[in-house]
Amino acid sequence: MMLRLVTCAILGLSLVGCAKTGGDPTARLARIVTGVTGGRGDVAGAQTVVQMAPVGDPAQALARLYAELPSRGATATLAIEAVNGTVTTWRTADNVTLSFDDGVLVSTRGLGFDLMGAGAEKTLMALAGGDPGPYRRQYRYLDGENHTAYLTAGCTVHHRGSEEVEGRTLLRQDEVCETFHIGITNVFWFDFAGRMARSRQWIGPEIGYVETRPAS
Amino acid sequence: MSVCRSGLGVLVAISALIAAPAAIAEGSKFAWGYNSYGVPGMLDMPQAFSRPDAELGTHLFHFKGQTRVSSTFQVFPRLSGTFRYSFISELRGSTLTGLQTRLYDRSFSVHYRFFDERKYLPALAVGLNDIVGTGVYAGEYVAATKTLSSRLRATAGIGWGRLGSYGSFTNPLGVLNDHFKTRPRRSGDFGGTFHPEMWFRGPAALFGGVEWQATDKLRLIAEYSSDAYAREEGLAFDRRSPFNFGLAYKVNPAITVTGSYMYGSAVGLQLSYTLNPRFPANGSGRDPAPPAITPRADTPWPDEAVSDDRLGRALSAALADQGLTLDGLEQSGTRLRIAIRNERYYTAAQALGRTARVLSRIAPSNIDIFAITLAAEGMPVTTATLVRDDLEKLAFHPVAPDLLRAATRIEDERSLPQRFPGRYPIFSWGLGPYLTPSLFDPDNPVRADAGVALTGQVSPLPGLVFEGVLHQKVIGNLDKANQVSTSTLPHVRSDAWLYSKADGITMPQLTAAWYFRPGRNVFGRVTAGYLESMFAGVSGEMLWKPQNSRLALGVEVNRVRQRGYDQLFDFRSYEVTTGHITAYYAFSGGIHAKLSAGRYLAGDKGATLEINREFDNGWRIGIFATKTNVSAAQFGEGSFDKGIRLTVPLDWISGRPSRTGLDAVIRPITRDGGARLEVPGRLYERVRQRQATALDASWGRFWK
Repeated sequence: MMLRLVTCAILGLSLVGCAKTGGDPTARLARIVTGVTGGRGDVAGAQTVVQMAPVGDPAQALARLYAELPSRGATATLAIEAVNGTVTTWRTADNVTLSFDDGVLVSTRGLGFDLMGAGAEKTLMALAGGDPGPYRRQYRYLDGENHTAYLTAGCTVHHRGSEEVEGRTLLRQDEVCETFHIGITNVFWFDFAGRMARSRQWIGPEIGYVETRPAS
Repeated sequence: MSVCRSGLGVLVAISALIAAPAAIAEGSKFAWGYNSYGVPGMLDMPQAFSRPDAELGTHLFHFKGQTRVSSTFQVFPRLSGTFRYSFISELRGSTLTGLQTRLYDRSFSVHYRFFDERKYLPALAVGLNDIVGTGVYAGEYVAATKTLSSRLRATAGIGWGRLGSYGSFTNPLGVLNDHFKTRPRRSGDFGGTFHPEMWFRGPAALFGGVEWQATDKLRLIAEYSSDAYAREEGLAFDRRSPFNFGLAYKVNPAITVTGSYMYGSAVGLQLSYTLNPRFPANGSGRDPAPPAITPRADTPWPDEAVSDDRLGRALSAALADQGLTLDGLEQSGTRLRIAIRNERYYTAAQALGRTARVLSRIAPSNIDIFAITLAAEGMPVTTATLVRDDLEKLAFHPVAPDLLRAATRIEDERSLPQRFPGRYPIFSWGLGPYLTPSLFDPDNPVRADAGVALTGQVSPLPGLVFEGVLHQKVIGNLDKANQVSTSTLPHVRSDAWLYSKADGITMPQLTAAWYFRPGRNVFGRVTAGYLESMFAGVSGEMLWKPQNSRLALGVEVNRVRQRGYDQLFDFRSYEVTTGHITAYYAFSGGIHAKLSAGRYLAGDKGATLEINREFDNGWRIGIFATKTNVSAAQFGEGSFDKGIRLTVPLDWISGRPSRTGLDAVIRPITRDGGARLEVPGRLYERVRQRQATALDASWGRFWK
């Protein structure tokens, strides 16, 4: 299917204002840039930062996201389909979409046990150096009878310091959430420019996690 | 008697030895397995727990001289019902005289858990086997089951009828009334009727057993049976002991294989397969992702008005990508109204959501309000009005369904927006396989015809539909039934096998139908032509069904003539006027009832009651029964028309969007009394699926 690529306006920088300027060095770096950078994907290079890309920017239109579902042994490369406010929706060639609110997964479609919606506001604030929690995060699903079902988790964000990932030094932050039955750890890696370089985020009980990074 | 006592004593002693301190395991209201009759139980004996709500279990059990195929539905958390089709190679008559060979028997059972397990008290259930069949398996029981540890359970019970036939004693209910002490003999009847005068009467006997969940997959079972198998003993098999022993191995959560050593002489094997309509394998479905909601600034016409024609073409193409058809379009200031036909999604809420997404991408930026009319066969039913800004704002809100529903107006709709050029006439056709099964007839458990079906539809105007179906049989054995009808009623259904003898092309349907809206909350249909395989004529129907109403009322009148056996253009001489007044009512908990009263195909008068449990994903399981002024003797075997109805949406199985539902009606026997005309396009389902009640029930799917 022809993918319809829509230009991306990155609005995540607005969150910079939420960042604390206290003693935690990682907090100062937690400038969250939507999903991925454009171009060839060397997110460590400061020159590749995409910020406030103008509408119609061809570089942004060519942006690609690499995603992996370990539970299904599936990988895919996604292209931007639409941007709605701070949320960017990415689509695979076989019509699976992942939507990220400034890099935080808020929705999937086409996977079966889809994440129909999720709150991101407090996660984003915590990742940006705001209140690390505990705070409540709500996940929304459809059950087998087409009824909306909510899963509410209590979450805290932990700064794990720097970490070597595939030959690159990145700063890691974990969002650790607890529900009645399930423990969730969403992991976000940032480069030293404060851009989200990769992530491992929970979709739901049946599918587990999706791992994302810019496609090279 | 002594055997009975000692047998139970041994089992209880074993329980006591193995048991850890008494504990009620989590989920202990659930039975661990099904018995050989498909009832929640051990091996041949029942126990007191129930299976999980809505579970549908299918079981194949065989031991020497007997094969039982049963299907059990957990109707409510406490109540389950079982339909069973059995083959018995040899057995004696009900008076233990005479001999029947190769008996194919159909029977029903019910099991009701009336007391939940407490810390020191067992769960209690009552059950009846073979309540409307021939009585071969007729028996009643009260069972008590106690969880002794998380892996051990014990059951003791008392049985009557067949379950009171070994180690029996005087019925203790005799203290209430002497008439309980004797079980009346079943008089020669036509089967298929209730015999409450026999229930819990006659000698009683005790049964019991223990179940040990040795590992997560393996369960060991030992039981003491109170069934003497008096009618089979010495014929189908030799009953040498009251003890049965078995191993049940759970292959996966759906499949369990049970091997058993039954009655000291025979090996039994049971295969159980369970599924639950509430838990589809693909979750909410692997539908291709919908188009993303786009801010109005990104539409193709951000700053200009656009003609209906241009907008219609763009919308048609985008909706077609989603399996939806644009039926009409109307711009009025900042409001855009369109009508759609949904040929892809089982739930109308999903069609509505996809349409709204398409509109967000294509509607000119000056449009603030989307009004989407859902139509059935070109007949308007409902209009949902949404605010464009709400869609954009709520698309990724954590509680988007509730907020959007609160902001959406859903109301009755009697008119369509204007058509745009080129929309009509609509042509469609299809070529595919067909299968016509006949299950569980008295001589053969499975018969079927299969072949190729060609369907065609032309709609020259909204609401006017010409439709035809041609069949070419390729293979089948429905014509081998050779059940020459002896019915004294007009042969409206009992000659079905003669209609199956046609080898050439047949035409099950060729109709013209007009769907219309005569008034607020009122829907109409007139259909003429070859309505079904056996009858042709004219059918008229009116339905009153307000939005959000639990009650609907309908009236249908048909004048039909019987078709020739070749199912082409010939007629037979029989003509009849048939019709019904019908009340539909949706109770809470997904229970839907339908009561029809009127005149049936054979000219008999009476009423049909149908009760279904419906799930918001489209599954439906129910029962129906018809009683008319035809006597049991005149009706013949089965005494009156009854059966089970099952609808399984194809998308539940495949995980892919589809409006197709697999319908099955299982009748123990099809006769001429209480027979109804099959008319394509009846209104109730078409209307209510597009109304607020159905939209609300699956509103979360708007965002799917």
